[in-house]
Amino acid sequence: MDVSQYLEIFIDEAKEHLENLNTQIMNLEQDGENMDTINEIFRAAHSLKGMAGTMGFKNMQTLTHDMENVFSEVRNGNVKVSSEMVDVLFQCLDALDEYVTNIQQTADEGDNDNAALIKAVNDFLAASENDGEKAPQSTASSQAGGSPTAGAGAEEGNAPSADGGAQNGNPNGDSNGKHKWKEIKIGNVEKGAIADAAKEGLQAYGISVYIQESCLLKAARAFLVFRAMEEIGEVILSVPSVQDIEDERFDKDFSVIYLTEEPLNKVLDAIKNVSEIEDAVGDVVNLSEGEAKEEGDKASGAGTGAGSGSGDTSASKEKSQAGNAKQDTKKVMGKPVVNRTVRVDIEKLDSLMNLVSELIISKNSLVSVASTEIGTSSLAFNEQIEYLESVTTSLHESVMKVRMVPIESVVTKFPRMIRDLSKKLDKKMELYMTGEDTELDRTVVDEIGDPLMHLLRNSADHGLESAEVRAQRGKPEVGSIFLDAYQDGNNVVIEVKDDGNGIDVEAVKAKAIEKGKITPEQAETMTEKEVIDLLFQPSFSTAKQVSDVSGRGVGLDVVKSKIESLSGEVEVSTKLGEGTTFTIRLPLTLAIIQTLMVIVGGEKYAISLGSIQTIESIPVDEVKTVQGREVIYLRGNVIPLVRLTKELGVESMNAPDADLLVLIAKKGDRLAGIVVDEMIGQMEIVIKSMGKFIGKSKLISGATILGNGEVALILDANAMI
Amino acid sequence: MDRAYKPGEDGKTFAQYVKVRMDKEWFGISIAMVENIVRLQRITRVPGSEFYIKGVINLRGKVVPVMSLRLKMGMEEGEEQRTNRIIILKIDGDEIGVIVDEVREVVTIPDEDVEKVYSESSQANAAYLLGVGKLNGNLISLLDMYEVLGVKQQ
Amino acid sequence: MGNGILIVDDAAFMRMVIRDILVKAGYEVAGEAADGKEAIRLYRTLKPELVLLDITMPEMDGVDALKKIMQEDRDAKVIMCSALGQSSMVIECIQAGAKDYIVKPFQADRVIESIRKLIG
Repeated sequence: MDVSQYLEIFIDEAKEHLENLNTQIMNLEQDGENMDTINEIFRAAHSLKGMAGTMGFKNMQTLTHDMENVFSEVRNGNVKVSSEMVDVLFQCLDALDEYVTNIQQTADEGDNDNAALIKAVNDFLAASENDGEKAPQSTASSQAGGSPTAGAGAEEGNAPSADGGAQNGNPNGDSNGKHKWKEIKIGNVEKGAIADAAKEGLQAYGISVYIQESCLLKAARAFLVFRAMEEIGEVILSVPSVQDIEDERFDKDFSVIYLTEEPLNKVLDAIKNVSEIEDAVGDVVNLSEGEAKEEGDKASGAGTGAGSGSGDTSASKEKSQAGNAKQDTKKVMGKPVVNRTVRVDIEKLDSLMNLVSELIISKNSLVSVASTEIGTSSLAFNEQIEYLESVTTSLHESVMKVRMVPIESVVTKFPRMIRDLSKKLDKKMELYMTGEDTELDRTVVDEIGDPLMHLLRNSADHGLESAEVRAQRGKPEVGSIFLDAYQDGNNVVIEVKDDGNGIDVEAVKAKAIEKGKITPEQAETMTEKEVIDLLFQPSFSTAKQVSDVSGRGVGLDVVKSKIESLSGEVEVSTKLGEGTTFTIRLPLTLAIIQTLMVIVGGEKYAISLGSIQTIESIPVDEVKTVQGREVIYLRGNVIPLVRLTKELGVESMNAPDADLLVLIAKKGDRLAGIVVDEMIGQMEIVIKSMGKFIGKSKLISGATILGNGEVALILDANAMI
Repeated sequence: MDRAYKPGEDGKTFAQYVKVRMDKEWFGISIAMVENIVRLQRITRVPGSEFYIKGVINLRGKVVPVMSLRLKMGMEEGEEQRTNRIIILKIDGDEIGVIVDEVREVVTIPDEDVEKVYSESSQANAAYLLGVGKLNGNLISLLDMYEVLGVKQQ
Repeated sequence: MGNGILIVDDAAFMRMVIRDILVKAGYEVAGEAADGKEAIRLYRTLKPELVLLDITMPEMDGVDALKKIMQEDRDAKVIMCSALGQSSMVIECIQAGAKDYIVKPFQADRVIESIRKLIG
């Protein structure tokens, strides 16, 4: 089968399973006896195995198969979850992750068979077998997903004689050709049954059934044959025994003694109509022929015949079997959390988004035509325009919503990471997460993982103190790291917080001086905030020694630039001895914003409306100068002025004595007055990236295309405050 | 677009270049990275950008930065002319336009007719050149646009 | 009946693989369900000619779904989709009325053979 077409969905789904496994194994470590968790792990491993097998990824299939086996045993209570097992399981996950990564990159899983890991996994099984709970054959039943171990004792009682029976059949097989049933020793009970049946007009047949070599789950296949036969007759004896067949302790054939009123060829046809049956042969049982053998066979007959004697007893046995299996399957019903979703290629969404953007642009140009060409502005036209506006707005909203995904997919890997870090750094710590269901645009979610990971590592490595120091400070031995996400207006806030040492401002200063970033004189006058900002400069690390956890050259500067590239910002608050909080603030949606269009020095700019509080007209003589800065007094506030003409390097088109048009912008509790030449009005715009060839400018956060096709730049009011 | 190198009929390898003029000199830009060639159009200035960045344009709904190749190459800014073109290049998925004085044609130059230029060369912008190609007895400087744009070649 | 085949598997990947196998062999797919409960619901509404039913699923597994379907329709034709190692579950399903089973990883001709024997 050509499977390449399934690669994409395979990778997607495999990743989901891996994430799920990650979470569940974390849970397992907390509570090794939680059946829901165990079942969920079993199920995920099982699904992965099936998928890998279908795609022909043998290594992956083998590993997941063995993981599944272990969990089957855990589920049956034969193996206890240990911390070593959790470690090995995590290694398995890493190995699986590697397979999937390879597949994603090369469409092939790679050659690593992870033999050592597979051995480690199987050692857990071996250990359980050595406990003497299971017979050597147990791999067969351990493979049997929900195989009832309750009956294990009984099985073992049967096993020796059953094997004996099977062996009896084989050596003489040749002389009877395919009619192996002729080797069956018919006991007195069966003879009685045959004689009774004959009185009711039933004929006794011996039948041998051959299953195709390629058949998988032969036991089940045999059962289909049994059922086909029992619809038109009665199996009174089977070799191997029903129990052995159920446990797959047979090669590829089995023989029965069978009572029916139907002609033989009809029975054989019914058997052959079962899939994967190679052949079935049979003939009338001649009792007198078997007489001579009868004597010594009573014992073995009774042995093999645990399920024989009559169809009824074997049926009742099957029922109890079914009962057992049912108990197990009840437990399989794990978490009912399956989102009803449709998978959509992100490219399709992007193209939908682009179309919506185009629609908004064209709507904007219609609006501008309507307002400029007086002749066309009839009432009906305006109504239609308004309608178009409301349609584009809701279309935009729903497309944006479709693009929103919970950050869960990114943060689920963190508990595992903290667990690993805890071991590596030999510090006790716990990660507490809230708001995993907070949603962000897909593109942001894809990008946010690395910065968050870095901040968490930073907290674990530099933030949390050693156990001794914590003890001295009277803090709990186990350090706490928090990751809290929540929506705040048009932003999503993600906080990474620890109860560790906090940032030692003096140490940072010393380091900055040592690195020549600042002079000792500068250090004197720097505020705490300015000092902390130094941490975000390229290649600035205060770690006394470089560890392979966070001191690997990727600094907070990378975190900062990543967040900024997503139009977000990072802030730090810290208290020495008490802990540090990094606050990341990201815009909820990226692509479309409400802006105020203004003119500065003849050029059009868009300023995000979110930060604008009011628009004021200020007479020039009300502008005062304080410490060399222009300020205005407004309703009791001293507000510094930002002259955009100066910032943008253009000349104002207004007369020098004309009133100033000032946009009052607010960020946190700080205000600024942004001076523009002229105001055009409010406009919803589509943010377009300017590409990487234009160096990052603090002031300019992007560009947009106006209704007339002109490009206008978007100014970031926050950067001016 | 695939790489422009294809085996020639005689087994020679060759590449194709867009022949462009700046001032009085002719240059070649490998067509492998040329997306499009458009006329000069309204450019929105981007304050605070490098001196050779002229601004951004609207290229069919996309915002694409545009640079003056003259300024980038250390030449003097030229007058706006009717023959001016913006060559849109796509490099590692990002688009950028470069303004040239004139675009003439696409030329094919066998690799063996390209002579390397070493950076010790007296030419100030030698680092920007892949080499010098021979074309019908004339010489044409072949631009290494990765170098010109300061992009690491992958 | 000719209402097509209902595919039940919690893995979208598997459903896609099965669907392709069926479509290529000229069978019609009546619908797809991702868990046992949905399978029962769709069985009622779509009345498919045949069900390919995965065993290991969340919400309600294939064994319970099969039993429920058989309870509601004694003549239901259900083929269990199992994996190696699920012998006892498959046997339980056969006893509960499943007509056949196929084993992952699926081989197209094996799947088709099984279906052909049941609905031609």
